[in-house]
Amino acid sequence: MVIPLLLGGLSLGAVYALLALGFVVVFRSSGVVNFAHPALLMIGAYVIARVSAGAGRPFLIALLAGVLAAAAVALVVQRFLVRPMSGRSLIAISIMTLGVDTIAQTEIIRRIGVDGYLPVADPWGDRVVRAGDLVFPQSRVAALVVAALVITAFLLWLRYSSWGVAMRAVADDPQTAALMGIRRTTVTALAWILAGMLAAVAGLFLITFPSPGLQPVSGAAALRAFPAAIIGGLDSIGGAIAGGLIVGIAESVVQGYAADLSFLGAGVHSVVPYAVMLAVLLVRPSGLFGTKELYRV
Amino acid sequence: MSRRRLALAGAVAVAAAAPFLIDSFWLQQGLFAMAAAVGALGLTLLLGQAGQLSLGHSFFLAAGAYGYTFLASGAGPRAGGLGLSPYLAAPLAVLLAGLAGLLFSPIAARLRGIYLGIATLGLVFLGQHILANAPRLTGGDNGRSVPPLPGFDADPGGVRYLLNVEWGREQKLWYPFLAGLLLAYLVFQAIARSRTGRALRAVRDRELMAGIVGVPVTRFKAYAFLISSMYAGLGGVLVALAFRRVVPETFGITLSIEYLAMVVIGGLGIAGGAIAGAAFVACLPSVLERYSDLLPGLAAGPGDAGISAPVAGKFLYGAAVIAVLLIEPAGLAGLARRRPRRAPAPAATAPPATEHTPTDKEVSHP
Amino acid sequence: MTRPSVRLGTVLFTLTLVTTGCATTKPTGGGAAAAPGVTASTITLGVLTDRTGPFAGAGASIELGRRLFWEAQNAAGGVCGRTVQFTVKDHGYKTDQAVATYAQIKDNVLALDELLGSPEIAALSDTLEQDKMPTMAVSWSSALLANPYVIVAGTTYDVEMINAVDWLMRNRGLAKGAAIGHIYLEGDYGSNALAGSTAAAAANGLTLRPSQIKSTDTDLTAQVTALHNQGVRFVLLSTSSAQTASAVSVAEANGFDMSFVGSNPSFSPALLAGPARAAMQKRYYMVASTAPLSSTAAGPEKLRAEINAKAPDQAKSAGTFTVYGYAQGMIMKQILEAACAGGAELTRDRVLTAFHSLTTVQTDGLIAPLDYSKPGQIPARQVFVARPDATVPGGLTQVQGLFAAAQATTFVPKS
Repeated sequence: MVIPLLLGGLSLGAVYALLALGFVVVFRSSGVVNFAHPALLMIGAYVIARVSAGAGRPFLIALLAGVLAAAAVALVVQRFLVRPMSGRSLIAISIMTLGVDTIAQTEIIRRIGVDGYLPVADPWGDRVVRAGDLVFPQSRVAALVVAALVITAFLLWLRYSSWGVAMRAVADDPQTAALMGIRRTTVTALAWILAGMLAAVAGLFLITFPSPGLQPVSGAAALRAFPAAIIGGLDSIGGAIAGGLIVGIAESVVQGYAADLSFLGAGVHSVVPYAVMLAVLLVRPSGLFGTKELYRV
Repeated sequence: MSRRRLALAGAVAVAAAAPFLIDSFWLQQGLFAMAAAVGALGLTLLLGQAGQLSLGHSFFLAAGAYGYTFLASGAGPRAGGLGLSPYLAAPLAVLLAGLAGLLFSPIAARLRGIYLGIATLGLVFLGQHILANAPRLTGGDNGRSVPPLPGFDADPGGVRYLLNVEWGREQKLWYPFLAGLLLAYLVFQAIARSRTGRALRAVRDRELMAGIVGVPVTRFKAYAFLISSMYAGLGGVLVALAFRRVVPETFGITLSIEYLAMVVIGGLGIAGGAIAGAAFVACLPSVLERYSDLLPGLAAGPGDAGISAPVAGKFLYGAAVIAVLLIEPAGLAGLARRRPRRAPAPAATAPPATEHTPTDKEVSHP
Repeated sequence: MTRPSVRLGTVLFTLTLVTTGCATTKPTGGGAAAAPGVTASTITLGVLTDRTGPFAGAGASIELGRRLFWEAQNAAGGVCGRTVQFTVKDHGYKTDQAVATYAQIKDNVLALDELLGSPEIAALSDTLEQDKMPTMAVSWSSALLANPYVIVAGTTYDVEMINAVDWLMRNRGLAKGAAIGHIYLEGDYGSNALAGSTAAAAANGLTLRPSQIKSTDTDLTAQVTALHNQGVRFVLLSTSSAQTASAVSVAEANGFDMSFVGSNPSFSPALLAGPARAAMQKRYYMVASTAPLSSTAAGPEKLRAEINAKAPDQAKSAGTFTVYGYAQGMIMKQILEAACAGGAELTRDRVLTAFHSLTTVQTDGLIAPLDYSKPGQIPARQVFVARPDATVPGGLTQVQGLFAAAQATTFVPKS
């Protein structure tokens, strides 16, 4: 009983890690709390669902389309809404992204239509993997594998590619990076594009089996990225991944043992990410791997 | 009286005349806006003056709303209550919310910036969980009805009239709400202009320096949480009275984010801004929905493929939020300040000490 | 406080005292003012529904049924010699929007022909009573019956679950001493259904395994797997249709020996257009007092004919909620006719009295017969059982005609 729960939690956690990563990348590079992150997830998932199931195109084309669509919207938001506000209060920009989220989510929900959900034609369908007694959906295995690959690719890119180094430089020491000729605006645009791409991939795995498809409530899953990002420490890439995994496993285990935990009240699995987060923050106020802020007097 | 006082008196006089001039829909919107404004004043004090980001405002609103409901309701078959007079229950609920804020403040003192924000968000989720799972206290998922203020409720005997205007619940409630808002506003200005206000702003801008200079930082942070949660408590009581029912669903993350939007759109740290922002966020969606069938080119009914009126209303609201902040990140108050000053009032009126300027840390580098 | 503030405060306080004290009762001039929403030629009814939120589909489906019924009825002369028209507002499944839009329309309508959403109904319950607003609630929770102004059109969720358990025991091999699962949503829908399943389990010597989920839960693997591990073969569902699809698909993919029975909101014909179709047709049953659209009774037959004649493009999405919307019209018509019978004037009070005077409301087989004559009592106790079938209109085929278990007929909800 425990193994499937842990596996499921790992798979879910990998998806949350993708979401938390996208959120942290934007926060690190521009200090903006991106309230439109759920919208990016929905946009990516919507395009993938439409192109694969609606228009019947090959899945890889649909996936590419979804990733590009989310990245494009993220770039448009950064270029035309966030950048003109550069130098202004961060909280004002963050609330502005709230307006973007309202518009984008309203439109996607309208397009989902009265059926209430949009199916996606992914290659795994509802097929399962069997290993002895264990039965596990292929789509969940795919989620874990793909998310791990994407995260690894991202970490490698961050470490070794010139743009990755530039991004880290700008996050660690903006003044020196500027002196070295790294254009801050380009790096920030890149961060937003990455956030869109990561959100789209995460969105795909939130709408595959055992979900029936993209629903109006699918965006709510992106909210769980917030505590995941905090648990790991908001300025830590590694922390975002750790935080995502912790939240996924905790949620999955609590859901599985809900009958034994009923004294905590019903539906406690949706509160668990926040309870874990509060517990972590009590012990480590900057998250598990976040750097403690240093203050200049 | 100074120009400022004159303007305030004028605004109050106009507001007091409102029930004679506008219909129930607008009065109802006004009640919602006033209830929201009281809560928003508390948040703008916490965030704008003291620099503490809180996404947990709806938790304290719930404390006030449910506190009042529990204290003022009689014990019934489905849920308990203390049966106190509503005039006693209301201030007690405010104190209860303040106590909750005080209890949370040690945790808040350990956290900074966005970490504090998201931690308070956790408070909201925990709060909703409790609200739904303690039916004897809260009525569970279905919530509870809110005891009305005696003397300010609909007349059971039939409709009454005052000066030829139908004098129902909305008209009567208008005045206690207005009084509550006025009180909240005046207290805010008093705090902001006092030494306490300066200390709060010192904590906001240069926390370490303030500590070195001798400001007891933790105590003032706790004070800020106490006051803002009391404001939220009063706001919660007003919300409960305006809706006549409390349900757990109302007091979630969406409400917290809405209050944050109110104070940012209105202009951080400024009392008038909080009120304007509250009116904007609380009323604009309903107003847009009400008049949305005036927009051309919309779908007529559910079978049509176009954009329906309520959806268009939501689009417009999101666009309005973006537009206000894009044009003036200091919000509506910032827009108001832009208007060229006439012949200046004598220098005796000090410029408002309630302005929030972005600090180094907060300026973005997109 | 400064003196100008004290002055202001005093002025305000005095104003408050004066206005509350001076409010007078306007003498009603001869002849009471006409009831709201009623003119010599029209009756206006209010509709507060969800057009943009999670239940937009149900709202649209009901709208189709309502529109078809009243177009035909108005063409045949309307009701009480007047045409019936509707003021429709969208609350998006948000309680504060519901409160605001209700305030907008309450003075212009005679009654509410539809109020959709348990949270919204709960939020407005006291207001409806204060305003004496007869309201047809789109919810089958017996908790609503405490309000005499609320009209519930069908068997309530708790009784539905009792009937479901009974049917499973008599037809699907659910045996005494076995375990039965119940996955239910937070809120009125779920908790009311749970009260029924709890009573049924107790009366039949079954072990109930309840599992609460939230409206944001889209993947029910954990719940279904946990139930399977507890040896459960039959699961009651009080969920949304998308959640039903998830649960049923999980059982299918894992090869679990599990069947599912759910109420009206747990199914939507759109599910049969997606990947869950095979699993749904194999493992799911619906219990409801609303007949499936494909039923051969007079009412559904007529409705199908009307859909094909007047709205063929919406035939694909028409389902049990459309049946409900059409029947809602029939019920409201009977209430209004009783209210203005004998040339009596139409007022809200008369509508209420008429409502409670109806002992048998027939809807030509669209909904089980309803008895509204005992305020606070459950109006109907029978249900149909249907199973998904992609080949018929509405996606459901009836497998059991109206019946009520013995326990269902005597069940009294705990208040």
